[in-house]
Amino acid sequence: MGWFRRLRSTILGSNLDEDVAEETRFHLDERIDEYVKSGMTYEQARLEAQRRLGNLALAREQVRDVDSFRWLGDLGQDVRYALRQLRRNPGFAIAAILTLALGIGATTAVFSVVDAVVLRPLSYADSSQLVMIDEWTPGFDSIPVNGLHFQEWRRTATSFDQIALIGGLNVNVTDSSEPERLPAARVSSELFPLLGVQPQLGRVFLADEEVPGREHVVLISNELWRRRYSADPQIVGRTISIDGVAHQVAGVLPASFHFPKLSDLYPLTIVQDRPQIWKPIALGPEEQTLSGHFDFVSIGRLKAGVSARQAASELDAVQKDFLAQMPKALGSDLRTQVQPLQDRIVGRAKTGLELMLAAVGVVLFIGCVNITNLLLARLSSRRRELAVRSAIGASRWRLTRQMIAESLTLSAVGGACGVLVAYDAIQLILALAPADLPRLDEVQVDARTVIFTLIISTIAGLVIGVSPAWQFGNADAGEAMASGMRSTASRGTGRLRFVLVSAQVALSAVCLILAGLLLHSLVNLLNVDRGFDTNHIMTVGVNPPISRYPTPEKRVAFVRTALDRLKVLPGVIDVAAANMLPLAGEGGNSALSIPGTSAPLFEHALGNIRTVSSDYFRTMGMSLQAGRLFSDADRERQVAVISMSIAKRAWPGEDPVGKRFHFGPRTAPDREVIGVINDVRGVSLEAGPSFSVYVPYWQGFFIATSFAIRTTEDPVTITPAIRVAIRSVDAELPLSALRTMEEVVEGSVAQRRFQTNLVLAFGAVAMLLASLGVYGVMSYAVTQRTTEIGIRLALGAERGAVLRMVLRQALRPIAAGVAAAVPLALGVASWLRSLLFGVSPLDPATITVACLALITAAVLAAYVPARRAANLDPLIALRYE
Amino acid sequence: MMRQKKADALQGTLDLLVLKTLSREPQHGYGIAARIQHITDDMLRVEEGSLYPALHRMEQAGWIAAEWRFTENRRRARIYRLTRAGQKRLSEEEARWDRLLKAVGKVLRFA
Repeated sequence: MGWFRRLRSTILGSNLDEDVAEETRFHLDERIDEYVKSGMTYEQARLEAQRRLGNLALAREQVRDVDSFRWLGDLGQDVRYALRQLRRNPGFAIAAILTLALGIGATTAVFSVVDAVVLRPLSYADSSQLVMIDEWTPGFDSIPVNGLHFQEWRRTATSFDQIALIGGLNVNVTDSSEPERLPAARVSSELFPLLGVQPQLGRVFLADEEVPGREHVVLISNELWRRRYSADPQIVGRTISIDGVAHQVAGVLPASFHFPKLSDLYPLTIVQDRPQIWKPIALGPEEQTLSGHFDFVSIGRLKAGVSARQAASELDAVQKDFLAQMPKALGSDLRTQVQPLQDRIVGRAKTGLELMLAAVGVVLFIGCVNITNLLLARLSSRRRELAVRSAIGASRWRLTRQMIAESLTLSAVGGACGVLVAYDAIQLILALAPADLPRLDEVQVDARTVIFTLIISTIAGLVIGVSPAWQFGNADAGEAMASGMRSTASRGTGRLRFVLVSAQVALSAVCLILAGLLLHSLVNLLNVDRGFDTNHIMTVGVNPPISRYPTPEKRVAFVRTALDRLKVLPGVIDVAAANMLPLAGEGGNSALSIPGTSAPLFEHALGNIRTVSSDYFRTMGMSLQAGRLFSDADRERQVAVISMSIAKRAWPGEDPVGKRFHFGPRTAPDREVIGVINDVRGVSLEAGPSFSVYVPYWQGFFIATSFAIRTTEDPVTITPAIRVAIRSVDAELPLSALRTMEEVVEGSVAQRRFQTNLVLAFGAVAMLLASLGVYGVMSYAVTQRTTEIGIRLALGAERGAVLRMVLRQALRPIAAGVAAAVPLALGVASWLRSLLFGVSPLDPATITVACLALITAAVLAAYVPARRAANLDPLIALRYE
Repeated sequence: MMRQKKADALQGTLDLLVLKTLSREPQHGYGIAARIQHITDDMLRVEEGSLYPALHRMEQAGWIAAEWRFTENRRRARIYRLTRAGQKRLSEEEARWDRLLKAVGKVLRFA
C-alpha cells in the first residue's frame, strides 16, 4: 500500500509534498490553539509556533530523503534536464533523432520481416509438433513421398497423431465467369484437422472421399470465394466445373488459413503458388505402386514427447519392409527424413534474411556511434558544467546517470519516430520483396514489433551513452576546474573517439565486403552459361483440360494447330512447344536404365524428361553437340535427344549416339539416342546443368504445355496477337501470364537480387555514416588544435605539411578499421557460403574493391577538415581562444 | 550515509518514545509530541524537525501506518497507529533500553 502511494506520488509529482504540507499545517494549527489557550494573542501564538517548528523546508526535504522511490523522481529530473539540453542544441538533437529514427525504423522493419518469415511459429495450432516427411535413398537423397508408402505409414505409425498426404496440380475452373487456371492441391482428409483448421463455411473432407469416384468435392480458399464467387454465402453445395468435371463445393476455408506454397515445401513440383482449390486425394492404381510415383508431400503431427528422430526411425522400419518387397535391383537402401515443417518452409530464405537483419543492425550501430562521437565532442565543452556540479556535491554515479539519461531520452524519442518510419519501411520492403519469399503475407506491425523497437531503442541509448557517461563520471573535477574555461578534450576522450571511428570503419567495411560478395554472386549467376537464349523470346503456358482433351492425340493436335497459328504471326521468327520451359520448375524426373546393366534403379541417372517440338532447340538458341535433332519425319520412332551431362554420366567415354535406354513404365519401349545437345540450367541457375532428356511432343505424354516464341522486335509488342492466336484454337483455354524469357530469368533470381540490393543499400549507408563519423571526429580534432596549427603556420610550416599532418592523423583509425574488417568479413562470409555463387568468401578482388571504396570515402571525409586546417589564417587562429 | 549512523544513537530513542506512545492509542504527530512532553512534565521536548522525518521513516519501515482522519475539532489530521511489526520493534527497543539503563546503573553504582 505504502509503496504504491509513494510510487504514485513520485510519478504524479507533488502528492507526497502536499501530504507533508497538510500535516505540517495541522501541527501548526494545533500548536497555535495550545498557545492561544495559554493566553497568547493569535499573532504571538502563530509566530511562536512557526519558530518552534523551525525550518519547514528542511524538515520536508528530510521527509523526502527517506522516500525509497527517490531515484524515480530523480530520473524524471534527469529526463527533464536532458530534454532541456536537447532543446538548447536543436541541430544536434535533430541530427541524432533523425539518425536514430531511420536506423531504428529500418531495423524494426527488417526485424518484422525476419520475425514473420523465420521466427514466428507457423500459424497453425501447436505448430511446433508439425513435421514434413521425405523419403530418402542414397542415390537421390531426399525425394517426395510415394502414395503407397504413405498409406502404410498412416496405417502403422504410432509416432504421429495424424499424417496427411498432399499433391499439387493446376486445374482449369470453368463456370459462369471467365475460365481460369488455378493452383490446386489434392489432400488426404487428415490435413485440415491436423493443421487445426476449421472451414468458415461447410465442412472439410471425409475419409471416404479418398475413394476414387467419390472425390468430386472441393474446398475453396477464402480469397477465391471472395474474388470469383463474390463471397456468396450459398456457395456450399453449388457445383463448379474443374477440368471439365462437375465438383460440389463442400466448404470455404477461413481467411486466416495460410498454406505454404507447395514450391516452398518441395522444389520438385509443377505448382508454384498457394493452392486455391483443394480436392480429396483419391490415389489411382498407377499411383499406388511400390517403387514409382514419388510425387507427394507428407506432413505429420508428432505425438507429444516424440522427437522427429524417433518418428523417422519408426518409419524407417516400415521402409525396410518395402525395400525387402521390392525387386533387389531397385536400390540398396530406403529411409525417411523427418524435419520440422517450419525449418522446411523458411530454410532457404533464412540465412539471407538474417544477413539483412545483421546488416541493418550494423547501420544502426554505426549511426549510434556517430551520435556518441557528437556527445563526446560536446562533453569537452561541458567540462565546466560538470566541474561545477561535481564541486557542489553531485556524485560520480549521479553524473554518469545524467549522461545515460540524456542518451536514453534521445533514443526514446528516436525510437518513437522509428516506429513510424518502420511502418512505411515495411510497406517498402513488401513492395520490393520477391514473391517467392515464403510467409511474406504474414508480415505485420504488432506488439512483438513494438517490443523489439523498445529493446533496440534501449540498446541504442546505452550504446550511445555508455562511453560518454564513463568519461563524464570519471572526469576529475579538480582538473576540470583548473583547466577553467578552456575546453580541451582530455586525452581519454580523444583516444576513445578514434577507437569508435575505427569500429565504424571496420563494420562498414564488413558490410561493403559482404555486399560486394553478394553482388559478385548475382552477376556471376546472371552471366552463368545458361545454355539457352533469352533475347526476344516470349513465353506463355496453357493447360488443355483432360475433360476436353482426353487423349494424347487431341492434345498433340491442339499443340500442332497452335504452333501453326503462332508461326505465321508477323514478327515471329521461331515457335516451339515444350511441356516445361527452362526455369519453370523441376517437372517430371525419371530414373533412366540402360538395357544390359544391373545397377539398382535408385542409383541410375535421373533424367528430367521434357517433351518438346523439333524447333525447340533452335528457338531457345541451343546447340547440337553430336548426332542430329528429331524432326516430324521421326513420327513414332522412339528417339531422344539427351544433354551432355547425361551422356557423360550414362556412357562415360563412349559415343552416346545410337545407344538405347529406358524410362517410365516397364511396358514402354526403349529409346534411341539420336543427338546430344548442350547442357542447360533448366531448373535453377544456381543448380548445375539439369540431366535433360528431350523427346518429341507428338509422342504424347504431356498435359500442360508452354510455347516459346522468338520475335524480330521487342516480344512484348506481339503479346495481344499471341493471345488471339491461341484463343482462335480454343477460346475457353485460360492462358498463364505472358512473360519474356528475360523476365523468367530475372524472376528466378528475384530473391537473391532483393537481398543483394538491400545489403548493398545498407552497406552504402554504413559507408556514408562511417565517413560522417570520420568527418566529425577530424573536424573536431582540427578545431581543438586550431591554436597549435596557427602557431605552426606562424612559425612557417607549409600548408601542404599541415594538410598531410591532419590526414595522417585520420588515416590511422581508418587503416586500423579496415585491417580489422578483413578477418571479420572472412568469418561472416564463410557463414554465408550458401548465399555465394561462383565466388569464394576470400575473393581478393571484392575485398580490395570494397576496402578501397571505403578508404577513399573516409579519406575524402577527412580531407575537408584537413583543408580547413591548412587554410587557417594564423592570426585569426592565434586569437581563437 | 551520515544519517544512517546517527540513527542508531539518537533516533533509536526517539523511535522508542514514539512507538510506546502509539502503543497506547493511535495519534497524530502533534499529539505524539504533546503526549511525550506532557508525560515527562516538559522534561522531553520532541523537535518537530526530527519527529516528522522519524514518523515517515518508521512508516516506511512498516512499524507504523498512517491515514487521514478528522479530529474532534474537525481538522484533517494524519493519524499514526502501531502495526504488528511495530509492536515487535517496540518490545525489542524496550529490551534494549532496559539493558542500557542497567548498564548505566551499574556504572553509576560501581565506578
